[in-house]
Amino acid sequence: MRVSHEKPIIEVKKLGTKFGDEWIHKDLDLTIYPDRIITVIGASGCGKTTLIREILMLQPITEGEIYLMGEKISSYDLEDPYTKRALSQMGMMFQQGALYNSYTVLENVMFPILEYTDFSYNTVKELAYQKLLITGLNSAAYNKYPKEISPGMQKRVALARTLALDPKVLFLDEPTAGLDPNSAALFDELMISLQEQLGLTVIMITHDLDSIWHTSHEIIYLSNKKVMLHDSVMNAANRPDIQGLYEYFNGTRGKITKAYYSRQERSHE
Amino acid sequence: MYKKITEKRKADLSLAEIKFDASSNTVILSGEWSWVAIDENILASVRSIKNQNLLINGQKIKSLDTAGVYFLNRLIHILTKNKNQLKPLLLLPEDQKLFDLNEQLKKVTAKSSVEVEELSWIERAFDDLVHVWHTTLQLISFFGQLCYTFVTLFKKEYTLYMQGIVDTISRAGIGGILICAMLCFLLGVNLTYQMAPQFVMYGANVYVVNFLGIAMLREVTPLITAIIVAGRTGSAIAAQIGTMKVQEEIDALQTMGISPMRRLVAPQVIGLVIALPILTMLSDAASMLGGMLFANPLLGVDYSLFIMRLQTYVSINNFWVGIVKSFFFAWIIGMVGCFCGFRVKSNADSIGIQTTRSVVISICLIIVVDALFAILFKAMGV
Repeated sequence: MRVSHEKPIIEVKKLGTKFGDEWIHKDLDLTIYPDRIITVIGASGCGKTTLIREILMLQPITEGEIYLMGEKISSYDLEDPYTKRALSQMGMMFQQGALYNSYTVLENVMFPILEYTDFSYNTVKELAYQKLLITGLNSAAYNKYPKEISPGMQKRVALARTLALDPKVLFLDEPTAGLDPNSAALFDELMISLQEQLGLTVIMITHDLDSIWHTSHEIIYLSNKKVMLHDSVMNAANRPDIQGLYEYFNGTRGKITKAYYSRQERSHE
Repeated sequence: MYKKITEKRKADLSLAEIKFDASSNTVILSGEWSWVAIDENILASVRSIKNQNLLINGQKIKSLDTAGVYFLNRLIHILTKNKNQLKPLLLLPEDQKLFDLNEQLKKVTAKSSVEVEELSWIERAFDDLVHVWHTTLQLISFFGQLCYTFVTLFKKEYTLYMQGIVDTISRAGIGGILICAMLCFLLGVNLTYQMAPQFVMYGANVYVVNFLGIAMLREVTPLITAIIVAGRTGSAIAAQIGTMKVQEEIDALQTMGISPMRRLVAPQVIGLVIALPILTMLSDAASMLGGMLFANPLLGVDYSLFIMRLQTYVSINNFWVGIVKSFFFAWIIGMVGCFCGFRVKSNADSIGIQTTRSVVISICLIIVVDALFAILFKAMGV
């Protein structure tokens, strides 16, 4: 099914999450439109990963509703969501990659395709090649085990595996964490080009300011159990009224990146 | 595994289709060209089209994903192989974008070829053999290191890590009392029950005491206790040290100048060497109790007679042989557990493999050493 560009792809209404006696989210509203890169930021422990896990149906919610392409997914029974998860067209790339260590790179990517389709083994293999090539991974690595390749390559394999079943929504948890600046920059480029060409909706969590400025179309700032701000990066960086967010973009580190990208934006105009 | 789910899903979708319109020489594609809705066999229908001037019209495609792009490529490949002239592919603009991505990939595909190096079974067998040989050498060298640690352990400048020793004793010893005692009790019962008809046949009812005394105290109890402890504690040691290795805690210890041998291995081995003989004594008692309780109804050997004959006719040496062996078994369990823990490499399966291996190697070595002791004690006449 084609994704409609006018309708929101994900809608979160009045979401509440309670861990023990503590509310992590309360009355959280969020609407995400397709075909863009969105970054979720916020202090550590403010429930960014929890929010994503809830949208992915990995974790139950306490109250509220979550809709995916108009379908209410928060009412599904979490004990039996496997079918729905697979066909929900959401993919998640985990922080550590979560590659299966006992499989080679190629087998890792083939795994979900083999599980869900009737294609012949060779077809699945070629489909997996295709996904790995899309992520720009050198073919010399395909028959190696995940532990034998560099962290940057592991991230690419993880991305290829996430793309194996052609998700419409892609969640990335700290995709550039632990990468050297060069690999991180290459990964950012890859993300931008893939988003454009595959028409993905990318939702990522990151603390990498360069990555935020370079890739994101929109920023979601989580604080006080709510979405405090949902705007473009430039607007988000210039909001002195929101405490925490302003320091995020204008701290000692933030202001260097901000100055650079502001100048670039001006020169484009 | 989940293929049926895909099948179910297919019912709600319009499947990918290829139709050939011979009048206008057009191949018309329709339906959903995504992995859920494509059947590989649809490509078979175009194999018969040969030597034509063709137009592929993909504008009726409802949606396209990367798997769809792959099948489009295969379609084009088949058609060109059958000497058809192809006009440029017609696609909706949003699909064209995705298809172009694939065009870039083709150049890469042409360059790269993936070679798989497969070993023959002979090579693999010899690889395994060499691996076993290396492991043996490493185990021997670990044994040497451990001995060296013990020699230097009692020098004045080092203190013993008492907390670790006490922990091991409580975990391996006190934690294992119930299971060891219970199993040895049952073994005592079992052996009495199985052998009773034989003793009755020869009218040698009272000899059950000699039999149980020698078999249980000398062989069965020390062996069973050691095997249980290898399974319970040896594996736990391997997993614990393995996890520390994965999380670089061992390296952290070394950078602080603390020897992992002295801090981690020695307390485990000392703790086991203290705990296992005591456990064996308790198991001995439990097995005798089991035998005694069942010798009475089955063979008519009452409790006082059993205890009297046990004291008179079963040499105390049998008991000591078992205890002496348990010292060595304890050493083996601790050493192999730590050895396998240190061999863990930094990935998740490795801990599982090494934990299993620690139990297998410990039990093998325990039985080998047991056999050696049998010969030794025979020669000594104990």
